[in-house]
Amino acid sequence: CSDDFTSLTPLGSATESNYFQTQADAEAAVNSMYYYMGDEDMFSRGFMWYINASDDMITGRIKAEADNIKNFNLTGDEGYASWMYPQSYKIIRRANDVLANVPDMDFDESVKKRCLGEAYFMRAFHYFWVASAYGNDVSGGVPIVTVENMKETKFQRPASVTENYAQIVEDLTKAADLLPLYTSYSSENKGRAHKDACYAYIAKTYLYWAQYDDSKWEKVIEFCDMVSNSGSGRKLIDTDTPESDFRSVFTYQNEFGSEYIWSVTSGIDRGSKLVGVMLENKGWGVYNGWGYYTPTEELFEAFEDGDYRRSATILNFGDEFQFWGESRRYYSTNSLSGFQFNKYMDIYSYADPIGNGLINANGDALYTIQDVPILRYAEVVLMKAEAKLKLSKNADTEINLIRNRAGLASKVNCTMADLKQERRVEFAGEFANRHRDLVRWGDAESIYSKPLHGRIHSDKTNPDSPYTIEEVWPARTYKPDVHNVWIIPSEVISSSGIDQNIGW
Amino acid sequence: VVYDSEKLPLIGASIRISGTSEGTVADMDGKFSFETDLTKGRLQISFIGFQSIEREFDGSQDYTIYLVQETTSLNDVVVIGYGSSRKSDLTGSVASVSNMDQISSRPITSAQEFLQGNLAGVTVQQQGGDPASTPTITIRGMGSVNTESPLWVVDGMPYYGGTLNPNDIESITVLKDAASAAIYGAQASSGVIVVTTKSGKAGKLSVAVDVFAGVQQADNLPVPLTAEEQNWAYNTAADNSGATRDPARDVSLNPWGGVNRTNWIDEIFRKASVYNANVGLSGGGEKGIYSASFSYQKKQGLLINTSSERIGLRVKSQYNLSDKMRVGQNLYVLNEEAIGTNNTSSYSGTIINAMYMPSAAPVYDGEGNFHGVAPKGSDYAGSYGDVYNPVALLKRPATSNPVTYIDANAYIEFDFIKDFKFRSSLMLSLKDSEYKKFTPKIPESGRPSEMNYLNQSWSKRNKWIWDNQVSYSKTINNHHLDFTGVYSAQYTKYEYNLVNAQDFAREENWYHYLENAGSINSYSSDAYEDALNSMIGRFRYNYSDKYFLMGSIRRDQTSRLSSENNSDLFPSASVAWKMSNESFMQELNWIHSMKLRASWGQIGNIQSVSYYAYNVPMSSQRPTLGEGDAQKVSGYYVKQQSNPNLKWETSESFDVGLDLSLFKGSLEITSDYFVKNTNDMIMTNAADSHLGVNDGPTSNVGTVENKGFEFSALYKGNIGSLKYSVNGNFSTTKNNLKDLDGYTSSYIYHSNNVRSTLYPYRSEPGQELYSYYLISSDGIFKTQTEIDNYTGSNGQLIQPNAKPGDLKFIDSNKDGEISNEDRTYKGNAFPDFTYAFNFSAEYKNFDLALTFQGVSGVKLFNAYKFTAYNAAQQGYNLDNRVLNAWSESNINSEIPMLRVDDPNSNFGTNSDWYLEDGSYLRLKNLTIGYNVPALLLNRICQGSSLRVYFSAENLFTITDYTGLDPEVGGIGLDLGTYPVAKTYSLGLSFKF
Repeated sequence: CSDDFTSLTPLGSATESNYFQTQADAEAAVNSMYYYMGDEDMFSRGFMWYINASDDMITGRIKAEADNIKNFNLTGDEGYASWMYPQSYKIIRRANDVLANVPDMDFDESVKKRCLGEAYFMRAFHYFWVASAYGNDVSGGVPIVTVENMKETKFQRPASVTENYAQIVEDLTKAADLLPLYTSYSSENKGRAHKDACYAYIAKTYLYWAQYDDSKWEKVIEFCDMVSNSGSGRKLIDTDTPESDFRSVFTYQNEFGSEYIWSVTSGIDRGSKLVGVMLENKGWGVYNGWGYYTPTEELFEAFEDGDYRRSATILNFGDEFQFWGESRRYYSTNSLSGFQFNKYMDIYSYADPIGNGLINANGDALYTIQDVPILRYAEVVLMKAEAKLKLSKNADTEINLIRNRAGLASKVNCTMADLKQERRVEFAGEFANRHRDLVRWGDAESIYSKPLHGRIHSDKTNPDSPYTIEEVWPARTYKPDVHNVWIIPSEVISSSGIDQNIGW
Repeated sequence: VVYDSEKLPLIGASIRISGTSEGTVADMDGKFSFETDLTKGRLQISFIGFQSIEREFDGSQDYTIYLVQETTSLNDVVVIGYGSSRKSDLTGSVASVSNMDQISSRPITSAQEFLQGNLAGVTVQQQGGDPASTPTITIRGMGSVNTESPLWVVDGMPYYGGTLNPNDIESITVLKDAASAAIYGAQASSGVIVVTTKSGKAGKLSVAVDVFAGVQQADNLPVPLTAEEQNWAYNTAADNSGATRDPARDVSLNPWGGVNRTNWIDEIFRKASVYNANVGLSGGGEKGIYSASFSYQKKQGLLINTSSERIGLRVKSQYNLSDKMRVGQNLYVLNEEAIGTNNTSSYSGTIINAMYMPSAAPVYDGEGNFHGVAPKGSDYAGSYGDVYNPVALLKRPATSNPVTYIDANAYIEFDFIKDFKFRSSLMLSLKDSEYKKFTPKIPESGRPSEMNYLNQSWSKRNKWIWDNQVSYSKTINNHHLDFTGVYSAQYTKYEYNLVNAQDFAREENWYHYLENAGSINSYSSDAYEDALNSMIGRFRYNYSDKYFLMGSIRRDQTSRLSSENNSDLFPSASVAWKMSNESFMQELNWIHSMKLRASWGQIGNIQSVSYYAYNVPMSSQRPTLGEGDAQKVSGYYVKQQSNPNLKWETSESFDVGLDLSLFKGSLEITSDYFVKNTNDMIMTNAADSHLGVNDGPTSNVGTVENKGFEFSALYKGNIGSLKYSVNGNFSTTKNNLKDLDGYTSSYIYHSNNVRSTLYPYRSEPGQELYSYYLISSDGIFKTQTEIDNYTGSNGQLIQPNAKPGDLKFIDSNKDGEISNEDRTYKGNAFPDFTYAFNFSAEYKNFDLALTFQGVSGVKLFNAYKFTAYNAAQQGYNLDNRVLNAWSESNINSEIPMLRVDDPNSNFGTNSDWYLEDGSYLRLKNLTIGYNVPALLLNRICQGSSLRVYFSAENLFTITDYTGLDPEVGGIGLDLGTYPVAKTYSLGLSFKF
């Protein structure tokens, strides 16, 4: 019989061997790199489970598995914490596929430049998260996979995470050259990688790198300035109305405003669920909020009096807010701390947000059209301030820029303590990552050894009921030499044979 | 004329003059005549399965000869691949079902169920009682981590169609060893089940009507906590954890939650009915025979709104074009529809949600809508967890899932020269599936959704197989030679399309069409082609009915491997020695027959390879980009690595056996020892996470060994007019993953999990496939002293987070802490030992049959306990066995203390606390029948017969397993199995 009978062309889709022929192929390969931005286990919950380890929040409902993450009591099998690592590498792979194939393709040069720039950025962005969560200078970094070694079958951990940071900076530098300003993107292309995001992440990479190498602080300032002066009109949203300025940052109308650097681009079919994840469990019977991550008394108290960011960040019993187009006063029978984050509630303030196409109708698919920020311009300002302080320079200008917008008076001769305070209250409940800050500042051990508190109201259905402040999370044991990185998921260890982080 | 004892003609009976080759065969009416020059001599009249007799003749004579059926089955003809053989001449390990007559009177839905417990070495596992699931059959152990199933061959052609109508089946034979199965190659490495359907018999039209109706029910159902008990459990758990009590559990604040309204388990289970009707027609004449059957079965599931329904039609005929040429056809059209429910998810599983749902909630609210976890507007809904109303889960979606199969084959047989035979068969197998599910909005609290969805998919699978066979058969003196050559080609094309649409303005049935969708949520498709061509040669030789030899070679070529590696050769050989035919054995009268067999063979296996593993198509995902309501854009990526070097997986098996027939055939014993190796096992490598693909390359990664012993015995006897038979069998299987050379890691980390927290399975060389890999537990700490005394080498506490009432885990690696390093292997879910007994008896007009079936050495992972006993999961309702959870006044409990957190990871640890013995012994079937006396019947309808019977399925079970049902199936992961039903039925068989 002839061989033709059993030699068949695969049906269904292009294969790796006949893909990457047209511009459309390249663009679709590039698009696929954005997929896990909208994944529940990345920037909806995902990395937020790690941020939940900080003193700003507790798991707002009974959930043993989440408790064990917060308590550094992990086995590596926890589903909540097992996806961030492998998903990040999936994007790294897709970026490598683009970087390996697109340079030799022949199509519109400007599109090609953008495609390559996006690939460098997305590779670096995911490396940034996975390296900082799992790599340090003792156990090592996370394996570096690039076009050069992507066909190999074994990967080793570099000796230090600083090798990852060097690689990330290299990628972002290339990306910054190739990519346009976000302001030049058409509406439907907004959300793609752009020049400012490259600079901002170079700055943040140096910020993290500086914990191992003081010489990087200068670089932080250099690249923060590159963002500010990129030509895209960077500034805080500051109209001298502090009661609404900060609040307005977290609205869909401003999601690509002057403060946007990098976000989870969301629509009602896909995007970050964080907005609904933080909403009251069962949403007072109106919509299916999930009720995770509720603020602590400690966070509430961290705000100075007169700081407009407090009410924009936290809902306290009796606070009035708009919900489904109606005024409502906050109470919760569910929140274990007696508070809820208010930062992402704007989208629920509209009348009939389902009918008006603002949120997904399915309470299991908590998507909204509101993009959830991952890195804001305010953080660029405060990164610069931190670097200046570390270099014994005055950072009052930067810190007061942030304070004044919030309605607070200026400070003079700000210290690291002022900087830490400002970073905490400005970014509470965001992916700026308070837990990582505490770890790199060396503050985690002392802070985590204290219990966390909440407000236990005598009648949880009455917004006006009195409360007592009670311990809602016992003190934890944080071992600084172990818990400065997270346990690498078991599946990663078993599939690759790399070494687990020391002590886990 | 030659008749059997019922005076039916024996077509084809051979009539020969002793000592000569002169003779003839009986025709359609059993008549024969021939002329001979001899005037005197002896006629030898023989027919397969009957005792031969001799008659003297002297000149021209008329005879009416009655042949008596042999009591022994040794002369039965068994259908093997591309031919048949006398059972006593077999050289391989071939088992046939002895009690086929029982198949039509059991209230079963498939032949698979009937095979359970019937044959040694053939393990049938029910996958719970879901109407949409079919039992799996494993022949001689798990040869691979891939799910494999034996090849079904129906009337000589590989069969990929739907459920066979049990009433159509005449015989079932299982080819267990490689030498027997080798002739079917490529898809036969897990064994072959050869089915022959009933054919017409020459004679007048005969009609058989079989009907039964029955009722099914579940027992051993779990009991959820009542509303009061649920409040008590969560208050106790909060107190034990030192946490604030949830106000929802305080009846002074939330009085609604203290009133018991519903037992949700009772709401979803029901007494279910089953009906079956079958009409068969058959007949024939000199030129041809025909048969037709029509069958209908409707079976309700034990869970409301689950069911299966089947309509089948078969037409089969053969026509003799001449005395050398025959044509025939066999057409089976089947439409089946099974509506099951999900019980494999511990989030959305139906039974587990019935456990989660608070007993305070009624099924419906005052307006007749489904009730949520709490009344509308209640502030306490969040305390009851993300739960679906289980009745709504079953009743709300409108699901249809009809599958239509058309399996048609036609053949021509031509005896073109003396001793040569040619047969060409063409089979068409079409499968057409449609799936449509409309899920209305879920307004009630729990897991609400204000969106409705229509999920609709279509698939079409077309397959053809063309076999051409030449066989040659010759007997010269004591040498009998038989040669078969086959050329076979098969081709399959498959296409599947899925659309998930949403946002329908109305929810009535007549509106469930895509045109009315507000938008399309997602869509996808899948397609493949598959081709296989094969050449097979086989010879069989026997000398003097004592020495038997068989050899075969098969060349397979597949489209599933790259063209460099896609063909290979697979040989087999087997020998047998019928010692009882040796002169030195003739003295031993009690030995009727004794035969020693040995076989070896290799089979290529292509079942476990995906269609394009050598060149995997790209996958697509649609991320969102853009301002405002970000929109989906198209994205393509590499999901799996290709492997152009992939080659055939080979299964190689060795078998020795002994067949004994004693006391004139009244006792038959068969025993076998086998070793079966799967070499170059094909499986998809787990991708190194750093490669960033979902799956690694499909590769040849190792060797799996199964060895075991099989024994079966059948005794037939009678005491006066009581005829009875006893049939027992057992088999052992020892599974061992010998190596994983070529796999990315030194073990396989299986992703099967419980709520993404427990991952109990691992396969590592030296262990069984899908072994449990768990931390050992050692009861519950009764006192703080026990915890304090449980220290590592440096005196540190091994379980610092433990309190009395928590589980004690064994620090097996002695490093002073409990971690994944302490996990050890704990066996697997596949039975080490399976056994069964059948007893049947006939007395006058009564008959009785009993089938006991059991397994032992089964371990089940009772993951149901993870949520049903655990108060640290969202506030779900719990199993009422937690009333007996550990407390200071109940220190001997095996259930850890109730807590709203789990700092000691009682539940979050992959521990053997979940592991239970899943051994059971079940009375699978009891049937009592009564044949209405012919005398009575003949008044109504001459020559008719009527049997009425009562049958009970799964009547009782002896097991220590605490889950719903020990027949969990699969890899033994029990998340709340759909239990197997107890069924009582009444039926009748009427023939005229």
